[in-house]
Amino acid sequence: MELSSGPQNLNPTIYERTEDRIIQESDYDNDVRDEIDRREIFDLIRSINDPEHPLTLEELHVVDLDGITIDNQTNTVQVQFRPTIPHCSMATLIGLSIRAKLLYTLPTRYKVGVNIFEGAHIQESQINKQLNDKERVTAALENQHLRAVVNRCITTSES
Amino acid sequence: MNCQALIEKFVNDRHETIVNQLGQLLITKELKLVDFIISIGDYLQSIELSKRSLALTLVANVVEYLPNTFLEPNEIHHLVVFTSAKMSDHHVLIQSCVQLFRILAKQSAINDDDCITMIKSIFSDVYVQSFPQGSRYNVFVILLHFLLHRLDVVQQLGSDFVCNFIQSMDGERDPRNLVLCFQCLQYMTKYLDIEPYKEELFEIVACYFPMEYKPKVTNIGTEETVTQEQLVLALRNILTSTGKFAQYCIPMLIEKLESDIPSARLAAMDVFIHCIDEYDARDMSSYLVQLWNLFSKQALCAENQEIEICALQSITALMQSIGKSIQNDETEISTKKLVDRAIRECGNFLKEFDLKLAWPAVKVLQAVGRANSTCSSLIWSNLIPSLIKQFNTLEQANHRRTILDMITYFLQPTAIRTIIKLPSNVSDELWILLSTHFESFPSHCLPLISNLLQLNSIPGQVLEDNLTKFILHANLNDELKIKLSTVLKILASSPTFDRICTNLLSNLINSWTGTKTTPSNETLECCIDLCHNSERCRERLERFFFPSQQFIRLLPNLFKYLSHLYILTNLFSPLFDLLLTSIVNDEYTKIFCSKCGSIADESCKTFVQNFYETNLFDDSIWQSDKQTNLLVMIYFIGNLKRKFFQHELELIFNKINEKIFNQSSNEMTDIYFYFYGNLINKLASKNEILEHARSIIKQCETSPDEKHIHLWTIIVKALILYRPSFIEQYIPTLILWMNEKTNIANLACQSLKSLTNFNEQTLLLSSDADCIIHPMVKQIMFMNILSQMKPLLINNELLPSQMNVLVDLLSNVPKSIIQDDIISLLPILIRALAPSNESAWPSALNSISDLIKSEPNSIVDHIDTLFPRLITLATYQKDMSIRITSLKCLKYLTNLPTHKIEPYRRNIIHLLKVCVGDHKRLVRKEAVETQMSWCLLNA
Repeated sequence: MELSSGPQNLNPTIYERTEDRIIQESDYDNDVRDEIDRREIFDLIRSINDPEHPLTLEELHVVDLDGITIDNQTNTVQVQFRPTIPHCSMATLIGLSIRAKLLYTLPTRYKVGVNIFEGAHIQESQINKQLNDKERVTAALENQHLRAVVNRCITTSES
Repeated sequence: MNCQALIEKFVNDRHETIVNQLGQLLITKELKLVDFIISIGDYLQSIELSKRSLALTLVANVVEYLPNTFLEPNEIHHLVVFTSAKMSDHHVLIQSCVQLFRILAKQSAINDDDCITMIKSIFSDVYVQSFPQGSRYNVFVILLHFLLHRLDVVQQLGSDFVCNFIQSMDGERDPRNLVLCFQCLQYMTKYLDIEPYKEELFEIVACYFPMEYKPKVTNIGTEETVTQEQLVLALRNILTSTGKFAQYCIPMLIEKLESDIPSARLAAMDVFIHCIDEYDARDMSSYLVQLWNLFSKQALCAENQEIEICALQSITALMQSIGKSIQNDETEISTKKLVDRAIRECGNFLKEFDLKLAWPAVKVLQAVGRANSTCSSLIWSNLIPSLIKQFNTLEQANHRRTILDMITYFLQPTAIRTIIKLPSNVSDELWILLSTHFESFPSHCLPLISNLLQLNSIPGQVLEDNLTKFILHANLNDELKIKLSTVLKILASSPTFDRICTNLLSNLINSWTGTKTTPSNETLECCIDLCHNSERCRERLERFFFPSQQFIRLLPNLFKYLSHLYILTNLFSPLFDLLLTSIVNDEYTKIFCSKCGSIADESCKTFVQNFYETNLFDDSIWQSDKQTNLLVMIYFIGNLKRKFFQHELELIFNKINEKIFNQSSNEMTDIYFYFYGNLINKLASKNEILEHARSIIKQCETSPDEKHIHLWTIIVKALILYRPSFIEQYIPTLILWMNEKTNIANLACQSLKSLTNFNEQTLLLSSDADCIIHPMVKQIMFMNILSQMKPLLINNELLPSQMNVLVDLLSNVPKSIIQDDIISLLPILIRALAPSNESAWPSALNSISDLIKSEPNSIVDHIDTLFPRLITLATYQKDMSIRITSLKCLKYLTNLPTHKIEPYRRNIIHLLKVCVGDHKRLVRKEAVETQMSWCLLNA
């Protein structure tokens, strides 16, 4: 993966951020159980930074609420993302960042799948295969250089 | 010692007390000024330069010692002539001369000629910038003094003064002097003729723009330092003080606006916003388009909110400045031309809602619109119809919502909105749109309706139907309720909407009278909202609701709209009867009664008197089955004003004394005691009442049981609120009780808790009930309590209840008071997190969290004990706020040096895996943030 070359999509389209989740009265009631939902997964990954631009994945429309599915019965989460251009070489890195963020912050009971939206990238199937291969992901995150790049992407201003 | 000897002593020893002695001799007339000058003459004319200088300094110091009305005009004259001659003598003497001048300038008897001599001498002999800061400061003080107090003299010098001042100030770098210079310049631009030197004057000021100055950190806290804000403000005031600077200032601002440095752009916009009062649009006509381009660029691509707000304000300022000038469509000074440009440039962005520029463009256009009524009309009539058209063609609901929000934003009320009218075709189109789509987007339509109503746009019949249907059938959440209430209150407040209001009320009331059902609380609240009108409230109430018990509960909301007289004469008796027969013990009753009590004035003396005589003094009412009636009375009387009812209150106090103590203990005892405390507090200025209160306190102390300790606490609190220093006498007793091994210790802890808790004031012991509350009560109380409690706090064998109350006490104390002590008390706070002190956890955690956030390093020595406890509390299932605060603490702890916390990292990340799976979303959110902080510790 080449990281040193300049940005490929020089002039990306920028989208409006969605409003923050409104806190309901029941959120403060300790006896009510709040299931993890699509929106919560979205809130986890929306703030991931793009590797090339000083923008978040949400602002570039790489991830959106519709691309997330969650099934609390079978404990599975599926995230689909859309690279800004079909030949984006950063797609794997973006996918890896999403995986890393969810790995750190989702309860361990969930099985996570990260895929590219159908037809959104020319190497879709290869990248999907890479991203969902547990061993390759682990190996990638053990690589010191790669981990530093991923960490830079998932560092948000609050943390 | 005679004068000569004193002078010699000064010259030899430089003894400073000699100045005082000589000054005193002059004031007491034991020495004449002439004799003093003659005595010092030899030194003043000495061939040794150092002696001449010293002698001059002595003269200056002695004159400074004298009051500024002491010298006669001729004395001043001779001193001025002499000093100005000395100026040209030698440059070393100039510093002392300037000092002497400064003192002479402040003498009240100085005449105009001497002032002129002094100014001319300063300008001709003093090369200001070659002197040290102190002397330069003196020069500017003299000049500012003349500008402030002898403006007529300065005006005689005309523009020469301006020219010479520019030379003196040129190159000044010291902030203290600059503040003075800027003040002088502000007066000069206002009162002197600066025309010949305006460019030079501007140049000398402009070189400081934008002001970037950071005050040095001085060790001496008391030393007065010049702040950045002070300088920025002074500089801005000069730049914007006169329109004569416009031709130079605007190009400079443009240059700064084009720079990459955000602070320079902010400063430039700040100056522009403030300059429009003085600058005329004609002075900047050739720059108008350039300014517009720069401001709109700033607003559309703002890096942060501060820049965005400033840029939008600048746009409004620009439009206002054009609006104030004579319009000419041939030139750029034309509101229409610039508004067209704005619409041309930004209008297109409104069509692409998903893009990031849509909302900034809306904000820019709104900033243009809010400048004046012409701009508003142009913006509205151009943009709103096209937005409506767009709304009708779009399919997606979220796009339609965005359009509604945009229209709402355009129509939001600003300062000028009261005088302009929405073009009628736009208004009609909007009402049609609202009536058709109200049901689909209520949450977005309601704010738009309120904005339209505030513009006095008259809605059609459909609105009433829509609103009625909405109120009666929709399931309203909190957000919608607030929006709906705003709309209803606007409808109620204006006479224009009287018809709609009346119809709505009738519709709503018919809905439950017709079907003979009970109205829901939401519907009732809506009806009350519709009565929010000071003129119509009474009429609407009488017409629609009276007498209805449900409304009595909600009435306190409307009190501000009804005149006191109306309440006193019409509401009191029928309502009180109604209340006495039917009330239940709830918050509304208390509020209602207390409000009635607090508005009662002298005019209701008879009512009050009858009321307590027939009710309160009647023995039967004190029986247990009539206690709710008693409650009404207690809240009513407890809120009466001292000013009008001092005598009555005293009478009541004496009469009910027995009654209260004879009551058997029940759940009402508490309120009786507070009522008693209320009366004591209000009457504490009378000695016999104070004595009486003290004797009751003593009685309680002799037999400390639950009832007596409780009474003790309330009376002590009533007294402390009146005079906080009383606490000194009572704390030892409390500490004694707290150290007892029996139940008394627990009761005493509770007592301390209620004494120190000022957040939850009971209704009867608060300033709302007209109690006397000392303004410094918190500070004095806590200082006293903390100093006396110190030994107890560091005691290692605290009982859990003691621990609990002390930790609570710490979280209640204002942070500034315990700043120094908190670190020494940290071990107690950490101990309070132990499993046995469950009830102390929330307070202890809050205190610790504040401490780690503000001073993380203070906690370093305790992390070994703190980490395990926080880890346990982060999974405490019974209370989510404890979990959240513990997680916050863990997050803040990542700010400690890495080598200190690294050993815990694995363990904490492992624990947080459990927390991110918590069953509450808010806990998970905090856990995720904490988890990320720990995972990325070295990243």
